[in-house]
Parts: sequence; C-alpha cells; structure tokens
Amino acid sequence: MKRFIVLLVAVLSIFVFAKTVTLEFWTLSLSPTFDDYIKAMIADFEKQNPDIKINWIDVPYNAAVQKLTAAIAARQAPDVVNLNTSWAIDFAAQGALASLDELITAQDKALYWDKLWNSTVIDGKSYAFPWYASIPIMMYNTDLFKKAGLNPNQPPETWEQVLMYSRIIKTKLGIYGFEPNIIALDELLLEGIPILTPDGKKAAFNTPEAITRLKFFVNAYKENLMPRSLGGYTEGREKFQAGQLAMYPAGLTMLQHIEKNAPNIYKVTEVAPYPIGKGKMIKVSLMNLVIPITSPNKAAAAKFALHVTSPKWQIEFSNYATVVPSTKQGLETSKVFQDRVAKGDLAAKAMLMASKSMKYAVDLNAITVHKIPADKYADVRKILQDYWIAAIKGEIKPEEALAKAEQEVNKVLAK
Amino acid sequence: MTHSKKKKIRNIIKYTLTYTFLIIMGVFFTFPFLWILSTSFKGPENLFTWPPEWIPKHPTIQNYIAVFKRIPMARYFLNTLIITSLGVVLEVILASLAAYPLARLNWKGKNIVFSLILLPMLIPMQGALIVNFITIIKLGLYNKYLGVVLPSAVTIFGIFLMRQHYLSVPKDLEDAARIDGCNEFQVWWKISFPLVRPATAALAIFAFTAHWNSFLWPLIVLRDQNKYPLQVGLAQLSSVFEANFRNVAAAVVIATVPILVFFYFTQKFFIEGYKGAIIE
Amino acid sequence: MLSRKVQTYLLAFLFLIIPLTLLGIFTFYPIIRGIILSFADYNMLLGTTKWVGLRNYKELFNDKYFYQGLTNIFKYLIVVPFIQFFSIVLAVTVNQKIPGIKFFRTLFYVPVITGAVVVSIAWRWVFNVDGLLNYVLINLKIVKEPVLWLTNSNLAIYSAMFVTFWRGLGYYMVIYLAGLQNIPSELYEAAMIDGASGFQSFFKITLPLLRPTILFCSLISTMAALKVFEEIFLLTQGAANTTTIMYLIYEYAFVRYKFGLSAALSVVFSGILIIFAIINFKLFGAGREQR
Repeated sequence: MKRFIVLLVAVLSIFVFAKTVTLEFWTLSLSPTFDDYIKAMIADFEKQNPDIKINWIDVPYNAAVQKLTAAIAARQAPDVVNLNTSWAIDFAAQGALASLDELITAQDKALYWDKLWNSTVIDGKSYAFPWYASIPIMMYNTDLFKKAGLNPNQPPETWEQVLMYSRIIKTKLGIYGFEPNIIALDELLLEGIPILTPDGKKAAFNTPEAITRLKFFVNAYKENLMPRSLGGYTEGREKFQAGQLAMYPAGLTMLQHIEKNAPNIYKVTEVAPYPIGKGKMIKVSLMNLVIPITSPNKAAAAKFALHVTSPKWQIEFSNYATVVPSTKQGLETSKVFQDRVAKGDLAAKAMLMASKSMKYAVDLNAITVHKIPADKYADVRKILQDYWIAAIKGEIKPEEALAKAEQEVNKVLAK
Repeated sequence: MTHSKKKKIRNIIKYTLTYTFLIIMGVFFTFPFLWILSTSFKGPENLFTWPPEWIPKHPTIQNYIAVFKRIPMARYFLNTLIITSLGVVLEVILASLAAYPLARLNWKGKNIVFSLILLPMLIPMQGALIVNFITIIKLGLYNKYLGVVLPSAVTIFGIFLMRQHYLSVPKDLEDAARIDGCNEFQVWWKISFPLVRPATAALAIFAFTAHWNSFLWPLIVLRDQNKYPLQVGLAQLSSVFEANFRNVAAAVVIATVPILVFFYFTQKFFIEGYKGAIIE
Repeated sequence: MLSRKVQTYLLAFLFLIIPLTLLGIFTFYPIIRGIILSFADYNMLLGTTKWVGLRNYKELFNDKYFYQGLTNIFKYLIVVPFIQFFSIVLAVTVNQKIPGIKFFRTLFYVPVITGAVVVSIAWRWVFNVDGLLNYVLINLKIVKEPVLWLTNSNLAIYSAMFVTFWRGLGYYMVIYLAGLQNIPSELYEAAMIDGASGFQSFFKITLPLLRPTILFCSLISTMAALKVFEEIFLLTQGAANTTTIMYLIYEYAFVRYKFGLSAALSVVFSGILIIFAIINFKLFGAGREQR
C-alpha cells in the first residue's frame, strides 16, 4: 500500500511539474522587421523546453516605459522585457525588477563582457542580461571628401582632425563638416573626467581638461562647422542622407537607415572607427533583458533570457540587423561575417570593426561608470547639459559655465 | 459703365480674392500632409533632399502595397473602426443626455453640478493613466474594446459644448410644445435635441478624430497585437533600425484619409442649419 | 401623467446618472487620489507610500523650472485672442455656399488631425536653422543671418506658439461654424436691405449672436494655452527655455518617477487654472440665455 501511495505521489508530481508555463516576452519595436528571426529563436527554445511556451508581444519604443509602468502597477506585467540600460536602471532603482544573482550561475555571467554586465549592477545586485549592442562609428561621404580635396582613404582619427577636415570642407564646399550628438555628461566621461569626488559629496568635473573639451564644441559652433540647430543624431542623419554633411559620427544602427532612405549616398559612404577620447572608452548603446519583480516564473524567465542572449543567437541576430553581440564570443568567430566583408558588404565591415572594439565598450548610463547616486542622476545630467549647451551657443563663457554647473550640482548633492 | 456691369466686376474681384485667400490658406494648412503624400509615392530616390522635391521622379504605389504586406493593415483598420464607432456613439449620446438638464430643466443644484463637472478640466493629473488602467482591470475590461472607450466616454468638453447649444434653442418653442401637451421627455426628443444637431455633428467629428488617432491608451489597455488600432500599428513601421519613411508616409495617408472623408460628409449637418425645423 | 416638477427631476436624474457615474470613476477618483498622494513619496510601480507632508510642495517652490514653466504659460496666453479672432474670420469665410467650399473646409481641418510625428518633422523642417523659413527670409533679404527659431531661448516659445496656432485654427473654425448656424440669415438680409456693409453686419450681428460660442471657445482656448504640452514635447522637449507646467508634470511623473511631486504640481496648477476660469466667466458671462 505504501509503495502504491509513493508511486501515486510521484506520478502526480510529474503532472504538476510538467504543467506548461507560459512566459510573456516584450520586445521594443522589433516587429515586423525581425519576425523571422525572433520566431525562429523562440521555436528553438520551445523545442528544447517543451514545458515552456513563449507569448511574444512587440511594443512601440516610445510608449514602452508607460506601458510597462502601467502593467507592473496593475500586476499584469510580462516575464521578460527588453529595455535599454537607462530604463533598466530606472526600473531597478524603483525596486520593480528581480535581481538575477540567485537565478543564474557564475559561468552564465562570464559569457558577457564584464563592463556590459556591470552596467545594470546596483548595490552589488545584477538586474539585467546584456543583449544586442551598437557602438558609434564614423560614417563619411567619400564623394564629398574627394570634392574637397581630402583623401577618402584617410578618415579622421582624432577629434582635432575632425575639426581640421571640417574647416577644409566648409571652405571648399560650404557645407557642414560633422554633426555630433552632444550629451555633456558623456563627453566628460569619455575624456576620463570624474563627475563627482570619490566620496560623492562634491562636483569634480570643473577641470582644465573639461574646459578644453567644451572649447572644442564652442569653436565648432563659432566657426559654423557643425549645424547650429544642435539637432543631434536625428538631424545629422537627415543631413547626411541629403548629402549636406560630410562626416556623421553616430551609432552603427544608422547605416541601415541611410541604406534604405538614401541609397545614392549609401553607395559613397565609408566607415571608420569613432575617435577615442582620453578615457579610452567607447560609448555603447546597449539593449538588455530584465525580469519584473511581479513575474511568477522567474526561473523559467531567466532560462529564456539566457537563450535569447546566447552567443549563438546574438551572432545570428547580426545577420538581420546592424548590431553586435554583447557576449565575449563575437562576430570574429563567424565565418559568415568574414565572407560578407570579403564581398564588400559595408554593413558587415562596420559590424566587424565594431565587434573588435567591444572590449573598450562601456555603457555610460551605468552607475558604476558615472558614480552618481540614482536619485540625483537626472538632475546632475540636466544641469550639466543646460550649461554645456549655453556655453556652446556662446551665451556664457566655458569657464563660467562649468563653475556655475559645479555650484548647482553641489547644491543638488547637499540635499 | 452700367450698374450691372459694375456689379459683375465687383463680384469677379470678390470671388478672385476669396478663392486666392482660400487657396493660400489651403496650402498653409496642408503643406506637411502634401509632403507626406508626395513621399508616399516615391520610389528608391533620396527623400531628404534640399530643396525638397514635391513631385516624385518615378511615382509608384509599391509603398502602399508594402504597408498592407508588412503589417495587418486591414485588421488594424477594422479595429480602429470598431473602437471609433463605439467611442463616438457613446460620447455623443452621453453628452447630449447630460447637458440637457444642465441647460434647460429647472431643478435645485443644477448650477452646482455643472460647476463640479467643469472642475476636472482645471485639475490635470498625470497619474490618471495608471489609476484608470487598474480600474479597467478590476472591471474585467482588460484587453477589451470597451475598456478602451469607457474612460473617455464622458467628456467635459462634450457636455460643455452641448450645454452652450441647448441654451440657444428658443425657449418659446419648448414652451409651445409643453402647452401642446408634450411631457418633458417629448420636449427634449422632439424639439431641443433635433435643434442642437450642428453641435452633435461637431462633437461627433471631434470624437471621431480623437479616437481615430488614439495611441497611448489603447496600447496600454490592449494586450493582443491583433487588436491594435491604426496608430499603434503605424508605429510598427519604424523599427529601431530602419524607418522606411516611404512606407510610413503611405501608412499615414491611409490612416488620415478616412477622417477627412468623414469630415467632408458630416459637414452638411452643421452647415445646413435648422431653418426648416422652426416651422410651427 | 406625473406633475411637471416630478417629470423634471426624473428626467434630470435619468439623463445624468450614467454620465456622472462614469465621470466619478474615471475622472474624479484619480484626481482625489492624486491630491492625497501629493503629500507622499509614492512608488507607482510597487504601490508603496511614504508620507512626507508638505515636502513635495516645498521642493516644487524651490525648482527653477517651476517658475520658468509659469512664465511660459502666461506668455502662451497671447495665442488665445489671435486664434479666436482668426478662427471666426475663417468660419465666416467658409460659411458661404460657393462651389468647392466643402473641399476647402476639409483642407482647413487637416492640421487638427495631423499626427504628432508628422507635425514634429514638418515644423522642425520649417524652423530649422537652414529650414524653410530662414530660406525664404534670407532670399527675400528680410534677415541677413539665419534665425534660431527653435533653439534661441527668447524665440523658441513663440515658435511653439505659432505651431499651436496653426493646429488650432481648424478646430475652432468647426465650433464657430456650428455656432454661426444659430444666426438666422433673415437678419443679414434685413441688414443688407438697410444698407449695412459686410463689416457692419459682422460687428453688429455676427459677433454679438456668437457670444455663447465665444465664451465657450475662449475658455477652452485659455485652458489649452495654459495646459500646453504636445508642441513642447514634439519640438523642443523643454529645452531652450520652453518648459511649461504640463510638461513638467509629465517629466516629474514619467522621467523622474516622482509621482507625489507630479501630483503636488497638479494641485498647485489647478489653483491657477481655477482663477483663470473665474476671470473668463466674469469677462464673458456664464452663457446666459439668448432673446
């Protein structure tokens, strides 16, 4: 009798544990462009894990925060969500995400570049799986270079050269040399300038190096080498596509936009590495996967997230989109890529170039990088941005701008 | 010159001036849309040239076809139609009902209730989005069309608009009906309501526009992608990686034309006037 | 039959019960909740509340963007008389039964339905440093150097105002058109026989009889000007000194996740709006009955 009961319990347990779990998976604006890729990846996972079903929902990028906030507040949240680093940090800081350390092994963690994993580590706890990444590259119009008398095989390697080339282009062709995407906080970090003192109590960015960097932009503006509307990468893309911009330093993902919307310009575009500042870092735009704290299936969710961000599937993604994997095993290991570059595929060339630089990639949104407390981050960033831009526009002197910013940041830190 | 000839010349001048004014205004108001229209017919040529090219070099309809192929446009169209019809009917009926007692009937507390109704217009609250979402879920309306239209079914704007128009209905007409033996409901149904038709038509247009273009709230309330309305579906045409702007332009045209058609044909309800109805 | 009085109360009740219930649930409830939460540090995501009394309000009055927002919305009121006047002119112009007028009315309504994305792309293209407006002005030799319409701290807010103006004309035109229908054409005919000109009819007949509509539109328009959000969100994102109160309310809630602070600002702001509503009613009357 006893053996029968044990057998009965064992059989019933199998049914209980073999119950199918359905995970809700949100991506940001990946459908319908990448339907084939995502569906294949999901099918592969479901085959290997017959007791887990994936319900895939794609959400428009610019409404994602509000939709996720509403979903979590109403306890209708998904199990795995695709977010960029700043949003992941925001949600984690509010206590809305599950910490991953209990859900994965050290081996799992070691698959990713340390700096990328640490972008979303707060108080020693991990909150996100790094997913696909894009880093900035320098795109330039070889046609315009030739017309201005510049050698199209010698792209600029430093920012000083960018300025020099821009002057020539302005004089010879009368158009803008380059259009940067100016984020004050990032510019300081890329030059290796600390934002706060080690104890986090005072501002530390008012240094001669900071003034030099600011003056770079002030001069570019004064000499009208970059558009004075300061429209960032969106405007830069429009101008580059219109043949009104010679050099376009922007994220890898912009290449495909140019290919689709301005095929003539794409034909004469070449790529070069982004000029590196004194901080020896490359700014990365990273997408991640997070697990909301309200999920009832955290273990299964972690399993799925590992699958999505595995080296195999990330390398595969690069065949569909101009992105690079966040795993240490990158595109250099893929024969498909080597072949594409050999055939003259510009996007593949850019991606391979990017993949090789991933060891320098740092997400500047990470607290471990800028070291500003989460609740003061937004204010510090805005103060720096406002004064930086004011100085660039010539409304106040650079020295004064940094001094005033320092004062206000100190006030914010003292609260 | 004879008097009639003078008049004729005056008329020609008047018409020329009027039409010139109308055309200039027309271009002023529609220039962004004209550029979108032009882009939607462009083939693989550069889009962001300067100065902009208004006439496509090789016009094509492939963008329109692409839109229907890439996303389930017909499905999204139907969803939007359902949501909009539901929303317009609810909004117009509820506003027409609620405004009448606040304009015409004599009862204690009428002015207090009206002032109270106006109050929320003066208290903008951002968190309402999330609070209403939680309420909708508690009412069991998550992922349902009714959940999309219910929170905006009663608009203060609508009640206010209808009230102003009820106030302009001649009181003598209503009193005459009462003398003729109509009860209060019949006074409303036979006299007041028909006479505010211009306002109901205007309200219908605004409600139609608001629902047809709604994006954020349906996105939050609806979970299934196959229930998404047009604007949400449109957002799917620009992924993070490539925004084929020609397709987006075609989709914008497809999404906008129905409102313009609706507007064109509803005009007669608030232009023709109610002259015929004054007959005793 | 029931007495008139009973009928009145019954009808009022029946007509108001559903609308008022819906308003109560979806409009009043969130507001009351918000007012209560303005005294707390509220985590919208987890639903946790930490009561902090008046701290949100104090923080508000110490924020320089609060004052920038206030200044800007008062500046924005300039739009109201312009929109109202030009919408009336438009409505009167398109009220004629000349061929093709239905088509023009539709065209004038287009900005109202033009989606946010299109509006932002189109107007940034116009106001850009090397955009359409500067192109025209420089070629006509009206200005020598390009004007920074959207990035100059003194100008940007007025550029946003112009876009609001552009988007609003068709909207108010429709409301005024509906209002114009209440004016019997016999009045105009009588005036013409008496020898009145177009202008005189306009000022002596049209405007006075449009009064309930003008009250309505000016109130809505004033509130809309004070509550401006979308144009700022689309064109400048608050940069170049264009922050408005509504934009700040949004920023506090969805960018900085400080829902309590956002609610506190809503409360303070509503005080201002109520004052303006009262001024508006006093100026134009509460829509008393005609004839």
